Amino acid sequence: MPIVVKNLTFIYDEGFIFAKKALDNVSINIEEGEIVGIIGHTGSGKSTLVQHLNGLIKPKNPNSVIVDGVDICDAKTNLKEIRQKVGLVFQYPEMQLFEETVEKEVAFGPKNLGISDEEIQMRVKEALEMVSLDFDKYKDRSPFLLSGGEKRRIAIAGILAMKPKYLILDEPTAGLDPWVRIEILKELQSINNKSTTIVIVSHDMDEISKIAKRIYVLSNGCVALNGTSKYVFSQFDKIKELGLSLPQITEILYLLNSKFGEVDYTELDISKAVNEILMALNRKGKWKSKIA
Amino acid sequence: MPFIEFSDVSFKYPEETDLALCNVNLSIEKGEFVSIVGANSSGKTTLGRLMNALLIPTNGKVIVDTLDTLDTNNIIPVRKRVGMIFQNPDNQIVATTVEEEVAFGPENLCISSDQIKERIDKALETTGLTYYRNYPPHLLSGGQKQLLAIASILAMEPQCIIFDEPTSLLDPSNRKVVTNKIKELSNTGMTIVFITHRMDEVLLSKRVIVLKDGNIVMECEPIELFSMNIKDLTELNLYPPEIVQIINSLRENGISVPKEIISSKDLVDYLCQL
Repeated sequence: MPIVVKNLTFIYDEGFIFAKKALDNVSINIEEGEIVGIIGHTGSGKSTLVQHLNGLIKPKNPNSVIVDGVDICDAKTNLKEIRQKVGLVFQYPEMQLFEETVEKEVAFGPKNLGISDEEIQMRVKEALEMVSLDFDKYKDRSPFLLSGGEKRRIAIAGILAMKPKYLILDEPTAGLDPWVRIEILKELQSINNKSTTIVIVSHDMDEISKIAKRIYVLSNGCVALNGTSKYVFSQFDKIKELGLSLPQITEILYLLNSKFGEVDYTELDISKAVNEILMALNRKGKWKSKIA
Repeated sequence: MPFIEFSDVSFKYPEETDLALCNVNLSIEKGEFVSIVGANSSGKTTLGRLMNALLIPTNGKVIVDTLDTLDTNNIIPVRKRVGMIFQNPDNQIVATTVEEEVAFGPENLCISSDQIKERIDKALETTGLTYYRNYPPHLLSGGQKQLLAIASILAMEPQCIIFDEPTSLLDPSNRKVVTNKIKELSNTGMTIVFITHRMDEVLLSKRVIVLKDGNIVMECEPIELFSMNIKDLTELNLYPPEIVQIINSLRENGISVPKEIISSKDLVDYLCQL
């Protein structure tokens, strides 16, 4: 199992007056090649959890975070290697852009890996391509004069250029407009298709339901729910109880099911959902297909 | 006489070649609640910033409460009347406690300390932050920080507040707290300009202005937007919420969902009574 988190507990400012338990006995696993979503409201421990996955925060107990069989707590573990393998894109990563040109910005990571200049340039090109930015058009521009969506992509490309095996993104679309959001999600899907494992932290249910196959729901530092996205969103009452919203699609189908019965409210695709609604109306004799 | 009036306003940023706003005419009445939508770089923020003289038109005139923003003597009076809340509250919080943060604005207005104290009390009460008076702002949640930013503006006693995507960094529950507060302010007669890219939030307002590539392409009641078809919305660079997509498909299948229906519950109730 590639990334395994077992019984992980973390307390901020332990022993001080503002001490706060951010993670309480959390266990998760991330399989190779999948897209996993981590959701929960602000303060549920999402960001704290993902910062453990590449050793930015070191767990106290041995064997609580294991990446490809390596315990990141072990004094012998080469954390540099782990961080190359597990790429972490922070919240608002554009705030950490600092180079004069887009090319230098994206090259910064790989430059520290001691690889040849040709290899670096190739990686920069590839990384920009993965986020739909043309190398020749952007390479000499200042990252600071780009739009919000472009900046976000440059920051993601900076991590992709490290060729991580696992790509962890903390709220990758927060603050972006809906179209840019959808484009970035599509790009992430195609990055995943090329065999990079992806973990997405988000509080946007509509978004996570579109991309993640499996979901962990965090609440007060604990895993409150986990399973396939279909299963998680079928736990209507539990999700509401946790103060989270459901995808609109799920809400409509669920309400319809409670009135009509026999509606599959785990459907997350719009056209299939519409079909579910029409079938339900048809069964009640309220609607007839023109084609039939 | 409208409270804010744009006459043939164009704006170009010095480093850009294209106009950010192009020949905009617009008037906002006192006490109105107007929302502004559009994709990134459609000119929403530029429009908002022209309203409190953070930006001055390249061409045309912006008049706020009879004051022309082109006249530099009017800049401070305009900003006293029109407050601005930004996307990220962290960018506008400067003080070390909640109370000091709220005091910062009025302290610069040359009013007595009794009056300042009175304004702070009132602003904290209105935003529900009285309990947090002595808290350092960084210990507040995202939603509370945005409420603090609102309190700081309220302490200046403006007649109008411009909200520039105030909820886009917040999670759903915090978003609700902030939008409820904006609604409340509107009910007290405050003029509100609400810039957002969330179509569901547009429903808070009475009138919506749609921007595309620096032009006003549509002005209507919010509900009209929800009854448009997907293709037209896409052309306006607006992204229809899932419910609008579903309602659109249902209409294509011959179920004439009335345009007043905009929530999941209303939709299901409508389907049940068919």
